[in-house]
Amino acid sequence: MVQNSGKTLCPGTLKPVNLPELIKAEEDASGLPTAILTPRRQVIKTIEDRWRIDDEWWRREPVSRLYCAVLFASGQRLVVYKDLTDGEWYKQGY
Amino acid sequence: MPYAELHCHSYYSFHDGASSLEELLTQAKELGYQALALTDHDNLCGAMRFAQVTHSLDIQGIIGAEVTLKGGYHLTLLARDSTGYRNLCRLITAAHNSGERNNPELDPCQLPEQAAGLIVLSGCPRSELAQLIDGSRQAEARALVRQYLEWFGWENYYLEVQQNLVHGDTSRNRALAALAQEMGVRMAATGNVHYHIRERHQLQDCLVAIRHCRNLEETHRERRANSEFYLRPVKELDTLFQEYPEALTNTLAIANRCTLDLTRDLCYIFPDYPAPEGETPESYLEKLCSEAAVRRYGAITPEVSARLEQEFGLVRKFKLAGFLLMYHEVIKLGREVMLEQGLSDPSLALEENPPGRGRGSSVSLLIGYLIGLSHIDPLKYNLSLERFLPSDTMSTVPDIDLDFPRSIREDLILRTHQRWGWEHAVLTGTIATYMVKGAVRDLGKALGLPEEEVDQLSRQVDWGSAKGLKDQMQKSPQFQSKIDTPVWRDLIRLAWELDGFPKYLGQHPGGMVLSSTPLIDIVPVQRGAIDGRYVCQWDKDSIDDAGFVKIDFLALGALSQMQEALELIHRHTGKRIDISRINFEDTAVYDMLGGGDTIGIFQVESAPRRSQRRPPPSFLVYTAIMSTL
Repeated sequence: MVQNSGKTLCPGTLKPVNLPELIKAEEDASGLPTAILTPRRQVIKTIEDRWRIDDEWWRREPVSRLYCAVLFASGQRLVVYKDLTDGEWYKQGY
Repeated sequence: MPYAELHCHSYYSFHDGASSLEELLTQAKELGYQALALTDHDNLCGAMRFAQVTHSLDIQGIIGAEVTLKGGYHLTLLARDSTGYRNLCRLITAAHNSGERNNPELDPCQLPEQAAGLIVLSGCPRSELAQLIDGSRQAEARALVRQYLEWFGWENYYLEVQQNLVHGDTSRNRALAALAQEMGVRMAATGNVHYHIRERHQLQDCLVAIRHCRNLEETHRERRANSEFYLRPVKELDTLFQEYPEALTNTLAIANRCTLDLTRDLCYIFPDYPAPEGETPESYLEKLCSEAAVRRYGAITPEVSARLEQEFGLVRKFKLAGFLLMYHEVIKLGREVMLEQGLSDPSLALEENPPGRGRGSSVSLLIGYLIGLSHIDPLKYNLSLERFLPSDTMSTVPDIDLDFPRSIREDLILRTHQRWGWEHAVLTGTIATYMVKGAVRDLGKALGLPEEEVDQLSRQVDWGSAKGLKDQMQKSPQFQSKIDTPVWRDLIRLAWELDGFPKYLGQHPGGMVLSSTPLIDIVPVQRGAIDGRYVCQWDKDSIDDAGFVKIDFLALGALSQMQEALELIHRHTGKRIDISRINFEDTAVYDMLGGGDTIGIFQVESAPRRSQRRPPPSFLVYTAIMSTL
């Protein structure tokens, strides 16, 4: 069990973990990733799954993302998503 | 590749579907779909209109429903033919009559008995099969598939695969494909459509929040994950289902087998009247009228005889004897209620003190006057028969409205259910729809706008279309500055989209439908909000389109007052007043009318009518004056 540090919990003390990381990616004509360029170019062998989230459209910053679970030729797996509001790709570790 | 969409919710999936029938069908036609199935949640409220619109747009429509099974599981049913449609109606009726009133649930045990003519798709992610697959309970999934194959047969059962880009869809579809392969079952791809275009997903989110009486922030779990539940271009479908192309082609095979045309295949028959032995309905009606004519007029005068002859000629021509006798039966039931409530004297003939009052063109019928449908003597007022019974053609049966005192009407509805059984006599449904006030209240809450301001706005706006919200806010000093601000802007746009959307199925105040064939074979029937009442899932327009005969039992408070007055007169004087024989030339009454002393008197108490300050010369002239105001 983690010991009680005695500190008062407030928003400033919260540290977000597993934040998505901005990456560069190559896409095909349908907008799906074919290669991830960050930190080095890795060709995607298969997109094993994809899913989309559209939410919070009533807020200042709506959420609209297309997620892809990709498999590289190396056998490594990764989840990336395209933010459909700004067009950027992000890596999301799970 | 051509495609037929077999799973589509319209706005008749109350607070879930976010597009109208017309929007869905027009879009499906534009996208080149071969067919579109309507599969609303546990109802066929839109089925008749859907069938009509498919005809006008020349696209194949398939009638179905997504029924809720015990445990909350969903199952998609499609009617192949009129037998399948009948079974669909019965199953939906059973679902509504077994669960809680607003939470229909069908016991799957009822499926095998009503399986004929139906095609079953295993259902959306909320189906039992999908839940078993998601829970990796393969053995139970296999057993369930076997069970449905046994009930419906291999040719009528498909595993339903949906790809709405929701996390889990892909893995579920792969598992379903493996199961299909293993068990030799075919798959069908469907879109689980909830709106015709992607942009409508925001309204759909709001509808879900409204259904749960919460706002958008509080309904993350209940709302759909994304905006992918629209009618897709066929090319998109080819990509989404590229692993299972046969699931797409199977949609066409299913559509080709669904040949039901609701505008043609209904089997509605108005009840035959069981005439007493040795009589036909015509002869019996003539007998009833002759007897009553003697009571009414002292004898069958040449004038009465000529009019009856004319009317019976038309009754025979249009085969209306059974129809009129059925009304007579209803009036007799009303009379029973009246006697039980102590509102009439059993020694009086029915036509002397009928329980209801006819109105409109039907009072021109002497037969109606003689069998208790009306208290107005059409001969005395020289009423033309032509408006009620045109002598040349008649496209539908004539409309007869009956007004009753409230207390009689309430009991009469229950008694009519009992007399013919609720499977044969039900209340007409009515669909409440969104207008501006309801749209502001519900959407405002869903969007999380300040409750007090939403309340103020809904009270400030005038009744009318929700499409006019922006104009109404423009006129309000309090709200005009909010028109282009975040969220209020959404409210205006969404209210525009929501205008005219159905809210719920209610019951018509008094319209009843009678049928010889069980009505539950033609339209699903559900319990009404008031105990003992049963309502069909069609509103008056669908009922008209279906050619049903609707009898309107309308309640008039004024009639209740008059009935009470008559009883008070009887109690205090011992006299029974025949309201059809009161003196229409009573000068004291005309003086009262001319003096504007009419507050509390039905139809003549409004300000313009009270302003007619000259005593009318006669009842007929007064009627003419009143009808012009």
